[in-house]
Amino acid sequence: MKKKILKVLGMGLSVYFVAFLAFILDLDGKALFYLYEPIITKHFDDMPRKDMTKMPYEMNKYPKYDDQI
Amino acid sequence: MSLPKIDMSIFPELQIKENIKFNVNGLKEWGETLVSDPAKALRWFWKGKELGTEMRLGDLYEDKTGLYKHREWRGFKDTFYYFNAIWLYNYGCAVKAILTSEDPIATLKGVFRYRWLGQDYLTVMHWFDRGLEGARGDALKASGWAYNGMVLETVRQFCRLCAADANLHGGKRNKYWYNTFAHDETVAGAIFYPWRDQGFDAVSLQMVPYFVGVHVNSQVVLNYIDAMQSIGLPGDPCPMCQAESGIFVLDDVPDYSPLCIVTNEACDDSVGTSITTDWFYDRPMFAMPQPMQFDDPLVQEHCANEIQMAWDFIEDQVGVPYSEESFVKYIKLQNILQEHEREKWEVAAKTSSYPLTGTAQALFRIYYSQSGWRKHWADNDERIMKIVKRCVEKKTDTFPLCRHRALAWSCAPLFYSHWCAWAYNTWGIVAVINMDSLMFDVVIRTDTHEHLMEDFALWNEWAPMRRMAVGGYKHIFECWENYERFNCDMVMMYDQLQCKGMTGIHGMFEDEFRNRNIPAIWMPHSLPDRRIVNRAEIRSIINDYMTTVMGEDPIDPSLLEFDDTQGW
Repeated sequence: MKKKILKVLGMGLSVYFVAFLAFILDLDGKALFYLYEPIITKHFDDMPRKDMTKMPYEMNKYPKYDDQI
Repeated sequence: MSLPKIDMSIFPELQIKENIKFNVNGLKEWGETLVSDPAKALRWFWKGKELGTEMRLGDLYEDKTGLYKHREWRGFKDTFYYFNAIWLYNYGCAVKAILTSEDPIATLKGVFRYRWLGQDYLTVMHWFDRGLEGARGDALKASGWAYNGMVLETVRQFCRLCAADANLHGGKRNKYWYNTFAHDETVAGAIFYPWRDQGFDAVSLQMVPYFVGVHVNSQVVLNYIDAMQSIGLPGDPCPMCQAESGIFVLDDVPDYSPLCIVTNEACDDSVGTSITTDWFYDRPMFAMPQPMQFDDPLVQEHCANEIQMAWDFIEDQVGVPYSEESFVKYIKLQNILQEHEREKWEVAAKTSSYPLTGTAQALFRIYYSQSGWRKHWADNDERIMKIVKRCVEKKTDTFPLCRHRALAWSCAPLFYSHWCAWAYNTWGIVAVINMDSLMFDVVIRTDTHEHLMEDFALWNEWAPMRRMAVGGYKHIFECWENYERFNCDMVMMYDQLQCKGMTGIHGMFEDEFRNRNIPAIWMPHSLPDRRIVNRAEIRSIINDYMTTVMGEDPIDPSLLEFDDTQGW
């Protein structure tokens, strides 16, 4: 039991230490900037988008909300 | 089976070994000091390097990206407070708020559907870092709570947007869609209090997709500004309205509501936004103007009628009547926040114990008063009030490097709201209060319906950028009385280059500054667009003024010049 508690405590402390290392070295910022951002930027740049200017500008004509809950 | 190939060309700047700097020089220096001067090394460890003499914050930045080689060591207690109660806590808070929201899966889908969500908000902790640089002790704690309030509100809004969004539910409109009101970010959330206890909620169309996002990550908004100009809009109208409209042009607005309320606030350009909203967000819309010349008593009645008409419109659309009980309940709660705000202003004006940084006080105040009362605002406000009271009782000097108390006037650069932290650490300039913090300064009477509507109409007119900036020149000239009131010795005058109203009064301000012998620094900017005047240029203008006009030396010379052009 004592061993188990020590093990859990040790694991908890290790996670805490790794998190602190990530914090102090700004690893979250670096990962977001160098890894996540290029991928997500490309994803959004490549995303097909509706041409909103093709939408007619009509006054007082709205879509029908016939699926009322 | 082969693994999918990763297209490495998407990492054009990814030369990790060259770019990423893990600075161990600080640790090396500390080790050497430990040998040569153990007492000093222990002091550095326990209290951190002394700001103003030993600390060189500029050395912490990576060139161009603004990332940190390592985060600031603020001393043992403050570093671990920042790590535990701000960094870990806020990441945890955000995850918990998403997981306990209406539809967490929809939020996850939203991250990959909407650029403003997928790209802006994961960088949130860097927003904290930039705004809290150099803050210690109670200033760090109080400002951290202000930022936390903004995180919780932002998460609430984007979770609700995603939960109600028909785009993320295969075009199907769910119960959240029918029970959410869409509105301009300059239509106050308080307008919707009468339905808050009746199963409805309101989320602004632009507050999270545009406004807050620019503070956190100033790159994303450029897509929206360019999109609006790509369909023919000239580049000189207000970039706020360009960005708000550009979100529609790029089809990046969630389809989350059966109706929409828009307004002319802050100015005529917002009327343009209303037109694009009417076009692209094709659904029943009510335009609820907020009068500009609010001094005329007849205007109050007119404004109250406009609000009443907006409520009638909502009733017609959703079939649920206005509830005065719900309205009064939230107005009373909102009044408490307003009374606390006045207490905080008193402390800011009369002592050096006000613990909120310039950025924290401005954004917290504007955000909660614009989006309306929520429990997380009230809880965090209570926490801040406790710290304020403690600081006053102990006479804590919360910003010990302070050389100048600045009044920040007019509309601030959204992409550089954290200039306050930079100015404090570099020149000892503390932004005591800013113009838009002083709007909505009405404790609304709730004793009779007439008083309620009279005060609520006035409150609605005293909105950001309206109370002073567009409310007539005598109101923008309230600058002088607030300069006295907050015991300032300097004005940081924001110069929004594309704001025609403020440009029109530029010369009168210059004359007044000269006549009153007030040191004023003009800070040119273009609200969200960092390309017109960039951060380095703003810093250089302040540096020039402080050296040539004020004849002062910087507190931290490492912050005078650095390149953060690629930073968030």
